[in-house]
Amino acid sequence: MTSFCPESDAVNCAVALERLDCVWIDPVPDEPLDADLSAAMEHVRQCSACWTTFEKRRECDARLAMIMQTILVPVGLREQLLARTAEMSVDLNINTDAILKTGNDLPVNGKPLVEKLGHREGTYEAALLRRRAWTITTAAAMLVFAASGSWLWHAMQGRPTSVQTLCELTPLTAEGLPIVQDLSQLPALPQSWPRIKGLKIIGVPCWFQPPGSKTAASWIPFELRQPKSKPIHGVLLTMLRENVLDPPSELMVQSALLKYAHRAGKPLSVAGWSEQGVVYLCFVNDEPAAIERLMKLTMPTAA
Amino acid sequence: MESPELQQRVAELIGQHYELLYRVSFRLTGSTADAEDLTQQTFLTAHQKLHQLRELESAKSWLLAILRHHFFRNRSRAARQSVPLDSLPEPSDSIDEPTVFDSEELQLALNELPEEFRFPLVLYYFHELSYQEIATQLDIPLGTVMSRLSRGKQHLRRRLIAEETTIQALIITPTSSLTR
Repeated sequence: MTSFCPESDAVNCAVALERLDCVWIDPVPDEPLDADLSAAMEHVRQCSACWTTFEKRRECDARLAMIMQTILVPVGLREQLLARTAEMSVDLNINTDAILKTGNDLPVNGKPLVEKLGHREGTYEAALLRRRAWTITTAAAMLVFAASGSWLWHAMQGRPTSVQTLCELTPLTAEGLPIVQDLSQLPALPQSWPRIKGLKIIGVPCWFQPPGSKTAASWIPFELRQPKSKPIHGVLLTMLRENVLDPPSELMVQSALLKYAHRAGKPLSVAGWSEQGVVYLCFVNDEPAAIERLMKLTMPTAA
Repeated sequence: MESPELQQRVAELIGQHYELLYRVSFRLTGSTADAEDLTQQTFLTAHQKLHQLRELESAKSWLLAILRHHFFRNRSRAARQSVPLDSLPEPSDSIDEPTVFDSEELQLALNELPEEFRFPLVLYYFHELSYQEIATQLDIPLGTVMSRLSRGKQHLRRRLIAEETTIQALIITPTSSLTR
């Protein structure tokens, strides 16, 4: 590999690649790098073997990040956390001042925090029993969700939905939507998305069925964070092209913006396009400039 | 801070961050029950220490610091099943082929890593902290973080290469279920 490298280069291939392994970086960095990273980047640009490895690692990293973050959060966890902290607010007065100050096994009034909480509820076994009951309840709830999600999917044959209906009725929060239990049922993400730096799925994919329609769409919350740019939060709706009455055309940044309106007092921009038989609608609670930035990154040649 | 106000702030923190904390916890611990426990421990401690949180903007890294503390404390009690540091490969200059793999395979590969490697790696892939911030939080030199990230990533690449998965459908091709 080193035979590809300029002889004057002080950074060898392994060191350069190791340094760049620590940062999410574009081929053309959009922010100043420190001296070591700049030298590593310069080396990789001039070394064809390193560049090939670097590119493949970036692609692998994007996939790893996507899969790493795709985890279903248990139903009811939020409520459980709220309940436990509310219980603490009432009468528990544990001194945890030592916590975070040392890395040792920290006592709380002479006992570990979890043990102390166990005592407060009677016995540790009682706490365990309660958690098991909660787990069983959660599992039952998950089964109900799974059944409803499956029912939705099998019941959704036929009647195409208009883009306008989807634009107007797609919710921006997951409240009340059935969770996608089997991720393999989801359609493909836009081809370029796994390679877009800073773009990730931030919640649990759900199914959305527009009222009056028998067609369900997958509902995927996402977030785009890039240096020096305002974060973009939104929802990607995907649906088979044949199930959409008036599917949008292939992706063109200029024509992708379908709608700009206000919902609940906030600006809402919607962009849409078709890609390999799937219709994508992108909802962003922001001005059109934000979604245009995302569309430029989504263009097949951009990522 | 009065109790209702305190509870309100804690509720806001939970609402904003519980999903992230659970997901990070899951990847760190590898089990649903342990992830729930770790998330709960984190918020219970946050509840007790809320007066230390000066700026709401720093809440996420503050919570991650609490989570890290509990994670390492819990793990120090448990029998370690991870591989020794020395057995991790040195970064290789070989070209890694793009591959596909699923969430469970990824978790198995993560579980094999020592905690000291797993924590920065998970935060890195969640895009939550830069390697400089990870170094600050772990109180270790930048070079150590870089080395751990590089070796941890190398381990994942080697373990996960060229395996078929269901996530392939999510990333690469439309699935047949859509054509039903």
